[in-house]
Amino acid sequence: MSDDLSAVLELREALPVFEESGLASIPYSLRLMPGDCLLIACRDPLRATRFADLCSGLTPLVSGHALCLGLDWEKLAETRAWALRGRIGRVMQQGAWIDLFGTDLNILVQQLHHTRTPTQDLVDEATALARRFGLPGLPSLAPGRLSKADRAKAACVRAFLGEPRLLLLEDPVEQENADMMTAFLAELTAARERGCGVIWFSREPELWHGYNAMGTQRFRLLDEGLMPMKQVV
Amino acid sequence: MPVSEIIDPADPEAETRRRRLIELVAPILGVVLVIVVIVIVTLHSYHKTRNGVISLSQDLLSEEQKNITQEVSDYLAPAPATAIVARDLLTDPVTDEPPRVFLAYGASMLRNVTQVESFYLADDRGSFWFIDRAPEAISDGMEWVHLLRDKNVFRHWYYDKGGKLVRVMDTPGKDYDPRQRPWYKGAFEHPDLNWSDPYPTVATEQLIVTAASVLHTSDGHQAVFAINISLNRLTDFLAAIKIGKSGKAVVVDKEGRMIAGNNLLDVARKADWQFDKMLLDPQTQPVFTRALSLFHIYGAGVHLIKAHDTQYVTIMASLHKIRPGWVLLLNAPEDDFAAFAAAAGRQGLLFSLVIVVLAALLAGFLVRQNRRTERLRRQIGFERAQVKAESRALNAMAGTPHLLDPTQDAPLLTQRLAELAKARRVGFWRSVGDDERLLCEDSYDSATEAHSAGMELSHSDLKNFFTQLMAGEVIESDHAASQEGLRTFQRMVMAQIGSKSVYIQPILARGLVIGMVVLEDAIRPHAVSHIIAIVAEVAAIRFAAMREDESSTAKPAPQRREESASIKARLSEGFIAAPERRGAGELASGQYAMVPVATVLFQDSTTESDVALIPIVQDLVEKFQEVVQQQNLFSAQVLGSRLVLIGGCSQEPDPEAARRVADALLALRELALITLSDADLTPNFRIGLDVGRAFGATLGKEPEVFNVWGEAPQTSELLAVSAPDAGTIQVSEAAHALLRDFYLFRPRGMFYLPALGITNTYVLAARR
Repeated sequence: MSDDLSAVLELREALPVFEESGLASIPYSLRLMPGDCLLIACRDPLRATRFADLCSGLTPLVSGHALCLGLDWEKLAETRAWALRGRIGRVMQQGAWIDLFGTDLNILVQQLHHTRTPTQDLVDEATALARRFGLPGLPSLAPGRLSKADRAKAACVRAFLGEPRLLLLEDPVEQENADMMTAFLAELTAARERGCGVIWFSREPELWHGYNAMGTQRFRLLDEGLMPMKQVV
Repeated sequence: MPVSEIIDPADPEAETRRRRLIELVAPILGVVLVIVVIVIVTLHSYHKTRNGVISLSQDLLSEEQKNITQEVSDYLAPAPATAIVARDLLTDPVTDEPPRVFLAYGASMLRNVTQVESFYLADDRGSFWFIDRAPEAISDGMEWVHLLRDKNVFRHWYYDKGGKLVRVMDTPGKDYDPRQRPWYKGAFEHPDLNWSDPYPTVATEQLIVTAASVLHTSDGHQAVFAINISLNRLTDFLAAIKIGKSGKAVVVDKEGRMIAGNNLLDVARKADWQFDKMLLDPQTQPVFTRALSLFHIYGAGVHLIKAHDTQYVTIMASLHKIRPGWVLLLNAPEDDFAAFAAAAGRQGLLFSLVIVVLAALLAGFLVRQNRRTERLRRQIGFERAQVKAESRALNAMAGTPHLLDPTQDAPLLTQRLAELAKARRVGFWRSVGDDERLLCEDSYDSATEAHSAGMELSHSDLKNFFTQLMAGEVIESDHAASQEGLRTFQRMVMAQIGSKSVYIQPILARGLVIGMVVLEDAIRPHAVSHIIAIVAEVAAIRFAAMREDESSTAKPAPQRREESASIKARLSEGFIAAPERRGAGELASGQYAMVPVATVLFQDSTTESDVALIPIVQDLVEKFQEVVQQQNLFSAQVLGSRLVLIGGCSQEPDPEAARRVADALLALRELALITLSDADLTPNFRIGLDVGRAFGATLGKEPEVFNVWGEAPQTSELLAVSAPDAGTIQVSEAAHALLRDFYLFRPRGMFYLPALGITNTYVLAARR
């Protein structure tokens, strides 16, 4: 990992199709190296989601390139693109929970689909993660029946499970569940040590206060595009 | 946890897989297509040929039928012809005098026309003359027979070839009256020519048919002239005709009674020579039976009939002109004509199959060649990548600043070696302390991509192994667990990651072994043995430099330790080494600024091992006690599965206390590793060490317990929990600052620790 020089995520003048994405049709450029963290402040949750979609290759481009792990989303065959998305851990703004299954299956389904890792190993890892995030174990109730705070923790477990190479976190921690910040930051640091690139969207940039680990950049996602943000220590 | 993806998105081979599949499947499909086309063409040509042959054979059979009809007609023709001639010739009255004309005419006919058996002449007065061939004894002779009505005898005259009377004989007449015979009566029904039904002669086993015509003699009487024709000869004739290979012909009447042809004698015998019973047998002659039925419905013609799973071509023709009611039936198996088509088809198919086999072989060769080329291409690619990787590794090593400087870490060496040799773990071990111990300088686990260091192996535990290593030769084993000399090494070192095979390259300096490079579960150590040797040389220079450094560096201030040697550990409830009290005032309750606290965390105590655990733990703790007492620690407390060591508890900063704890930890670790490995238990314990603030107070009454809690114990526990690997000692930034002059450390990296925020942690490796 240490000598892996290819970016985890790279947008080269990527101009999304407005009709499909709803994102302002301006070219976006960014380069996220392994272990780097991008803190993106965005007041509009929908815009953050759309930008995360752009990063996961779900938005068609008018021009430019969007590359993940050195692979161009547009040039990748469909099956390989799906497999590549299997390497992305994501906390979704809208939750993206399937209420027909228990939260445990919701958490495991990505890894069960994309990998041959034995189910027991996955369950063990998910349980350990859940404990670290402050859940007594892997929650088995349907996601809709969990409390909001527990659901946020479960979302983090889902995102961090399976050693993802890229984390797209849309408001993983909010003021009301700030008690999980410690566990969250510990996992985030571990993931970054492993070489995972992180994009952390937040509506409340004050949450980042004090998080100034090396390799962290701050941006604002506005209608005008990605704007660098002055670091507030 | 390693992730095994079903589809690797970064796999560059993914795109070529489809092409490879096409390369494999296309030739096979081609061969299958060729086979299908050949089968279709063969079947088509077979059917075409067969239809042509059948149509041709039908034509042939039609011709044959005309021919046979003609032959049968010719066979029976003497009867009407003779009758016409006889009508003109035989006008003399039939008396007892021999009718010269009749006899001469008859004899001539018998001599020249073989199918004629005999002639009758009878008149309405009952006179009867008969001429036929003499018995075989008189060759080519004639027999005259006359009925002497007055004597009621038949008089027989036998003449030889030359017309000379040989003998005369009488046989009983048995009241024979020719006028009562069917042939005589029938002649008046059709005066021109009347054919009788065939009738058998049992004695000669012949079926005879008689044609009779009415004559008018000069004396005004009516006479009947009859000509007997043997149907056996017709049967022989029909049998002699060749229709295809095994074709048959029969003549039957409309009722299905056999008149001539195949099996006539069998049928006749079966029917006891009664003509009415001589019917076609549907069992033995199914084709003729069905052909006759078809003739009744469709009349004369050609038909295909299937019987006994064989197709027969049959021809039915009426012989009405010759003898009303007679039908000629011919049949021949279709195969007689079309067999060659099937044979040719089969042969064609066989030849085609040979072609197919050859094509398949060629396709196989093509596939094999393709695969081979592909394999070679990959091999070349692999080799090229290998060479590139090797030169890149060498470049990287050469480009590493301070590579030979032992004060600078070079994690690159193990990492590159692990990549090149595809090894699970690569470790550099250095011989320290007068070659009595081996210290792990750097160990890189490629599965977890983590470096670790600090493990020590002592000469006393691994005598055999050391002897083997000191020989300076490469040690190699696929099953280290079963090899003498490597067994203990396997249990103590390799069992940590469960590796099986090992490749050990001794590191030599001036002919002396000063360390080793260990590659565990390496897939291709031999292919990169030269790189291993180069790396070993680099390590040799580093290690040699380290030795020099160590020998030149004076160990700092051991005298302070002697002071504290006067401290005596005491045992009391709750402690394996109780807090020291040197007067009541020294253990004042309150906050202590610099308390070195170490937590040893044993995990997996619930393992389902069948090893008797308690004696081992007992033994271990006893050894721990010894160490703790030896190092004069302030206290050591066992709490469940953890052991808490406190180096010293004083208001003034005491770096010595931290050293005591570190020394104790190194000793404890070695003890635990050896004891647990010897007991076949996984040495799964982690150690955390911190120096910091803590609260100390004597709590409770009788017994009182001096308890320490606060930041330092909490951090040491966190460090133990999050220690990178089993058996490692994770040290906080504060402890590192105190101890770095005396011990070897390896930075682990930056971590977010809940109590401290982002901080650096270190792994304590060994004493300097």
